[in-house]
Amino acid sequence: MEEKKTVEMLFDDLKKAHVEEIDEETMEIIIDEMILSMLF
Amino acid sequence: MYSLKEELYTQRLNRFNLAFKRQIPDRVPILFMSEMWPVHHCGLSSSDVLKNPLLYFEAFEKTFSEIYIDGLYSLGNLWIESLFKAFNNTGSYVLTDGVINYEKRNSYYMDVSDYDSLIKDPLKFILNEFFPKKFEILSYGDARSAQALNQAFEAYRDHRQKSIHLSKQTENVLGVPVLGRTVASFGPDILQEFFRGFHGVVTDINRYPQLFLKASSVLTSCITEMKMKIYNTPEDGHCVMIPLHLGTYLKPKDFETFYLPFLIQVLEIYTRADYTVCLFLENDWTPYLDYFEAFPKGKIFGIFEYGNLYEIKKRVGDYLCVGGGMPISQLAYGTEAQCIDTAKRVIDECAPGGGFIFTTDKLMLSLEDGRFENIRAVHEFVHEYGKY
Repeated sequence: MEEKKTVEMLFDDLKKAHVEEIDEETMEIIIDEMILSMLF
Repeated sequence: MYSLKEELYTQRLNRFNLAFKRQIPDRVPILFMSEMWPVHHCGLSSSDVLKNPLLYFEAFEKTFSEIYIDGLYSLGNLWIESLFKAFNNTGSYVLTDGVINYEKRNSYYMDVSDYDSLIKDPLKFILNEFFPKKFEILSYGDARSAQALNQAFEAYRDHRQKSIHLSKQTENVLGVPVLGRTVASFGPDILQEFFRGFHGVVTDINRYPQLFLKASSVLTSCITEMKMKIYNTPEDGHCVMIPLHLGTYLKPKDFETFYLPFLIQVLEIYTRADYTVCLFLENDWTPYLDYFEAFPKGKIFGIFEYGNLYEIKKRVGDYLCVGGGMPISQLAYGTEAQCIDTAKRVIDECAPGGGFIFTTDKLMLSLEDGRFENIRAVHEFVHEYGKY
């Protein structure tokens, strides 16, 4: 059975999926911005 | 070649920057605070603009060719509808009658029993405990969650790219500085607005004061650190916007213990790193003005919603640049002559000595928040009369 992933793990997967397209620093910034926007 | 728009932009930015430093610019800067007002004024649909932020430019171009301004408070597009759609949710806001309204029943998914977890690691708490409650689809932890998160990411990225473009276009093509580069908050307001609600935090302050204090402290540090990573280069004339919500609803003794220390903490972190902070002081801060003496030295700009601005500037003008003065109720229901009388009094009383920015007492959300003719007349008047 597939492991139930935490949101943190889902974000890690998202980062890995875009690793060739977006540099690590920019990706970290976009993800942080997105997390804060999700609070609204 | 240095274009006229570039020159205009630089002049306006310098005007704000000198005011932020509590110095005297060439004229009193005029700040326009709105969300959907320009959109409605130009006959655009709020719903379309939320889907495509680039449409704001059309609204800005028309509005600011008719109404003089020195700068925009922000782009007015903080709530990203498309991001929430990916999670089958609207977040804490909804679009009703063309206006973005706070919908408190859509928030507050944190219980008292969650404090320990939040205090231990606020970011992990937000990601792994708060978000799965707020967005049910993220609680599955499977391919459905991954797909929703990916869709939300693409929506966010699209919105981000368009917002960056919109900001550059507004500044480069129209010569209008967009002052707010990012919106920040700190512990007590984050707990109230996003996690526990007003009733929740007031109860917590009385019953679980230590939990509230610890949570406020770790949230202030965590969110400020994230914000400074995102907006990592302070720029003259641009601000970190911090709306203040909970403070004045607390008794003075509670304000001193549960709000002021975190407000000071966040101001110290930003100003020490040379950021300019713009506080939007919701409600009436008159009974709290003595506390401003503890504010750090630095570029702090405060927009006051209520109170006698002349008295406010007299009492706190040495600690921060003061803004406000024009009631949107008068812009909406008064005559041009009445509005200009008010603007003249505000300039006469608040402009001397510098450190003052003319703006409205509230954000103009809808077209009903101000008659076009009144706003245009007032801004024309202040632009001329506000020369130093």
